[in-house]
Amino acid sequence: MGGKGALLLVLGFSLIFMVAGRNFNSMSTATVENFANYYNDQKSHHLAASGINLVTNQIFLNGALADQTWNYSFDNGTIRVTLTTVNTFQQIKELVSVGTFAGVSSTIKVVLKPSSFSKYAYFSHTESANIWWTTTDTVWGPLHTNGQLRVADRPVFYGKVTLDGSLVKYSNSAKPQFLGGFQTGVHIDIPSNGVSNLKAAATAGGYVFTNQSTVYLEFRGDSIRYRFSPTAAWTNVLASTFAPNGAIFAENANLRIKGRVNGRFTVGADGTSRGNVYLDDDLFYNQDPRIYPNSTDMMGIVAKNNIIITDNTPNNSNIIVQASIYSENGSFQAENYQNRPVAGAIYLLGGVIQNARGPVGEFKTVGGTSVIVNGFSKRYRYDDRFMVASPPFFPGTNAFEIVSWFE
Amino acid sequence: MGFGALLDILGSTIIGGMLLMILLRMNDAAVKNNYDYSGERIVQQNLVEVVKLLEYDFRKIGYCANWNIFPNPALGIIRADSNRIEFITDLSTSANPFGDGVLDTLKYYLGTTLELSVTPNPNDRLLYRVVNSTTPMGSNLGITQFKLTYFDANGDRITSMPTSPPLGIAAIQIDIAVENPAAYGNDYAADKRVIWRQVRLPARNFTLR
Repeated sequence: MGGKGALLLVLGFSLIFMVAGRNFNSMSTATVENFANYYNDQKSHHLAASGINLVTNQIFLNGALADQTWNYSFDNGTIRVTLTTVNTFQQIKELVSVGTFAGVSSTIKVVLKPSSFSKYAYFSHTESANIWWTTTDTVWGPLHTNGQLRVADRPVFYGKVTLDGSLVKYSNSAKPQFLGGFQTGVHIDIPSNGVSNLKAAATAGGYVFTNQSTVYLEFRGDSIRYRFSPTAAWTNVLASTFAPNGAIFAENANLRIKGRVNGRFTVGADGTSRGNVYLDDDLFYNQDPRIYPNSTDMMGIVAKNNIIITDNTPNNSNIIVQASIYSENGSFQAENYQNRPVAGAIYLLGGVIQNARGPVGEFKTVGGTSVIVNGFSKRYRYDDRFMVASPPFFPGTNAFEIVSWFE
Repeated sequence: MGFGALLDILGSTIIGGMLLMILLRMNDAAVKNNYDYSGERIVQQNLVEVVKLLEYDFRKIGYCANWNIFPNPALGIIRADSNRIEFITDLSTSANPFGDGVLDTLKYYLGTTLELSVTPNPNDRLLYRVVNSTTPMGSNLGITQFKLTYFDANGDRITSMPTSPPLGIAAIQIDIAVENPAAYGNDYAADKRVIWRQVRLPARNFTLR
């Protein structure tokens, strides 16, 4: 009897222990499973991101890549990436990547568009060794240089800053404020066909001035007038019929411009010894986008060589420039910057894209404050519309940029 | 009944009592372990759920299906402090899994301990998720800490945030601690707490352009 009782007792205890043990094991397993599921989620997400990286790299190397689907097997998972051109005219591309791991799928979708130089508030291929961005400098939009970015004290960059060279600090106390992000190792060449593409567009549906050494062009709202010497009579034309597609080009000539721009235009000039665009006076929009946010006025200035603020009477007390400026081989500069009188400030609304940084004035330091002694000080503001739109036929970077990333 | 039988009864009583004591203690231990294990599982699951939700939403900071209407994603974070963040995004819906192209604002913040005075845990708080200007939605997942630390592009901790975007945030450190809202024996010691830390870019969109 006692033996049976003991047996029952042992069996009873064993049963209780087995049930409790199973329960504990189950809970432990559930805890581990919980993290295993999180791991699977993360892994599938990373696989999807890898798919995007693999294909965007191909697009960056070959912008003409045809729409297609790629399938990859990677790290015990699978990746399926589909490239679709969603807007043929604007060349907007969409990439959808689905990463799958252990039965869990994750999707990432990105949108790419051709990148235009007009999106930059400031772009230079090279930076002068003795020019520093300092506390008084504020850049309101994206900035890129293929050279070194030299900073002293606390310059403020509101847009994203990208560099191919390094960030050089004047001293250890230099604290540049990169409020829009900062990235190194990015190289963007100024293409050699930016100006010629504009010329081709002007030939096809705009207007090309030929066989002139200098073209004087004044925007007057709905109309444009031009002449070929400072004393000749003006020829007046209706802007919309003169250059229907907005491209105006001076072939092998210098172009001198000013006036009130109504509409979307890009003007340009080429030539070996010419190819400069001179700003003879204010160039401004009919509707300032800072006052009229829906303004459609948009101006591009494209020069094979330099874009120069003329040393003349109208420019001796400030100059307004509302445009995105592109100099393929030269720079944006002021004529006679070392000898001209103190001329106020350059009120630029737009961006400056130049091969090399050019001078617009000289200053000296008095009591710790910079004082202009020749030429201009700078008041540059970025035109935010250039983040999504460009003046007609403004040079592109020949590359795509990602404008949207869903994950 | 002789002395021997008396000894048998006494001995069996003692042994039986000891067995009973062992059984009771074992039961108590089993109950405690059961509570601890299940509590730990709940805490772990709560943590993973919170983390998944945060990662899902934070990945979309500055995102909009119609990218033209929000061309500068660096302006995506509107307000940020140590336990609160508000940002612009485009929330997915069942009809529009990639967003509807209309900008939304999303806000996360941590409530006070007074709001959860009914739970035995004196430290847990509600984590609120507010979409646009709708009524704040809080969930009690046993969160006792939701701390956000921000770093600029130089890698320095941001101690003084600009009043308006862009706020210059290049990286966010998220610290979360989760405890059992009703632990066995009201034991909320540090070793019962589950913590999670992630240093992340705000979002891929944030530094695209």
